[in-house]
Amino acid sequence: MVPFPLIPVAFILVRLVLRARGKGPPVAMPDPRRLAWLIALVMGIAAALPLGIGLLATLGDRITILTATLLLGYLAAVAAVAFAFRTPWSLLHPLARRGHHRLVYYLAQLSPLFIASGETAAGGLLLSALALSYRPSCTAIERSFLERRLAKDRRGLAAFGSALALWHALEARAARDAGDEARAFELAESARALFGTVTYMSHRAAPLPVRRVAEEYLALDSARRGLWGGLGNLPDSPARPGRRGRLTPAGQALRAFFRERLEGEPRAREDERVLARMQSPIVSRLFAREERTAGAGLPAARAQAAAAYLTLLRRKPVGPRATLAMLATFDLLLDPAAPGTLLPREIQQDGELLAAVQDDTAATLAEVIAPVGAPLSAMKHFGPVSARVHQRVEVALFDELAKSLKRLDARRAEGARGDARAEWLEVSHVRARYRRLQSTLGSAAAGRVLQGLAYSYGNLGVDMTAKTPLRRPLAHAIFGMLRGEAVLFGHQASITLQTSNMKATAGVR
Amino acid sequence: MNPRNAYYVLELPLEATPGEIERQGRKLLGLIELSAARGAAYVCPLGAQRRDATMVREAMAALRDPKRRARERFVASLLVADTIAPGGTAREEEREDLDDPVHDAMHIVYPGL
Repeated sequence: MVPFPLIPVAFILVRLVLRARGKGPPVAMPDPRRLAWLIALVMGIAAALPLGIGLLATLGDRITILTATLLLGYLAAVAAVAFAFRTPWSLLHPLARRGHHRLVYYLAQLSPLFIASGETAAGGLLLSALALSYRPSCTAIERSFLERRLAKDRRGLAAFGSALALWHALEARAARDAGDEARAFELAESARALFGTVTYMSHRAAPLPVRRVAEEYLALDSARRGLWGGLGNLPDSPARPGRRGRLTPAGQALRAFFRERLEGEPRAREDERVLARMQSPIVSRLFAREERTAGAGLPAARAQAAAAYLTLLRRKPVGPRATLAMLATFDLLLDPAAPGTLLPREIQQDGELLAAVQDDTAATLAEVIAPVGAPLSAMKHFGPVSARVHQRVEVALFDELAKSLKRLDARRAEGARGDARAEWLEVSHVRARYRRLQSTLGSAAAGRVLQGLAYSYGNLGVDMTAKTPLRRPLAHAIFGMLRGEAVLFGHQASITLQTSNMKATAGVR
Repeated sequence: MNPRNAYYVLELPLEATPGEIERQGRKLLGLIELSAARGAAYVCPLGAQRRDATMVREAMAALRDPKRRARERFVASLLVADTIAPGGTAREEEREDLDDPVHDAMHIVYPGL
């Protein structure tokens, strides 16, 4: 009954459509699961044609209850397969929201999730990680369920990167609960850096649902760190109505806060709808905030500076403005010429001792600022402490990035490559270190290291493109970042080179 | 202000005399030698920290020098009682400023993070 000669024809058509959809390299032979789903879909469609003919013939004669039931049942099955093929994420994500991390993982394995990029397994891991994140807490065994499966992944595209990032975030929460703030901080930094890499991937390697998860996490994390400026750059809703944008309601609400309360812009109608629907007490509390008026003199400023220092010491986020205010306060407290100085006469009169006290304080402050970064380049006036802090942080950040790049060069010279997890972390950490340097010391300082970064980081991308194991989608993220910097600094030759590199790595293989 | 400040490491008040500094240092070295838990950790205004014999010797050396002692004393005094609440946490203002970090922002979507 099923016209089997139609199957290969339909399959070739599907392949041609898939090939024509992207501008990157042609899609390689699908993996077995993807092939099985394609065949099932094609068979379903192919079977619908003779069944339709059969239906017409039956109507001409007489419809029995049995024929009609069989026919409708079969058409429903075909429709279900077609629907699952189109939107498996939409079916599985609500299940993940209910916290069923194992169920959602195994169901994802049976579905054609992210079939175009061949990341069904990693998609299941991402849903599983999301399920654990939506729950108030999870156990070490549940996290190890994820970790074991992440270690087995070979594709290493955006769903894998996002699942790895969420695993780091879950481990960070566990470390924080256990009182290990230093480890929690490192893990949270890795999670942010990994999600950042996802945003640089091509549209074919990072499907929209994965991109939405990454953008949402980064928006929430920016709010958690008080990095409001980053929220202003979040993507707008798509131009076409009815299509989902990259921004989720939570990201949109935070962006609305930034635009309305910090930038003074009127509230957009689309934000109005999202905020009315969103019933989060955290968001309500955020919009109820009021600007604090100027503190009551130096004692209040000193208390705030102490609070900021202690928060930073515990590796907890402090807003950029509070960090700069802390430095300005210590400048005043430790400047012998300032009216409110705390320096006793014996220190004020001994230049060597004074310099040693200022050095000690600056070293202590730099130690807590360097790992998190703060926009020191935005300081208008530098005092005896802030100038020393700037110098120490500058040395620390340049040194950290130089070491990272040297490690990349050394590994390249050896021809050593890592597994998907190691390379994702490497790509993400190098970019995160550069970004920290840029946001702390300014673009001019970043420009000093850009050439070295373009050489070492770019070569890592080239290796991922040309040598096994091939990781072109990850290389695309490297080239995308380098292209962005080339645009920022107006390096035309570099823009051309990185654009061409990005085109060559825009596929999923 | 640094958790490794000599006064914090030796758990001494800022007005301690040279004799008290020596006695406290030797007592702590003895405790560390005996692997006593009391010797391996200390609590300062910046929270609980770990301590070893090298840290104690360095702190004693720093406080033997009058200039270093003045320096350590002053730096330790930068975080004084009126800026630190009991338990080593900072006295922060209750009300959040407009652009302060939203510490529980993740919980808007992810209660588990």
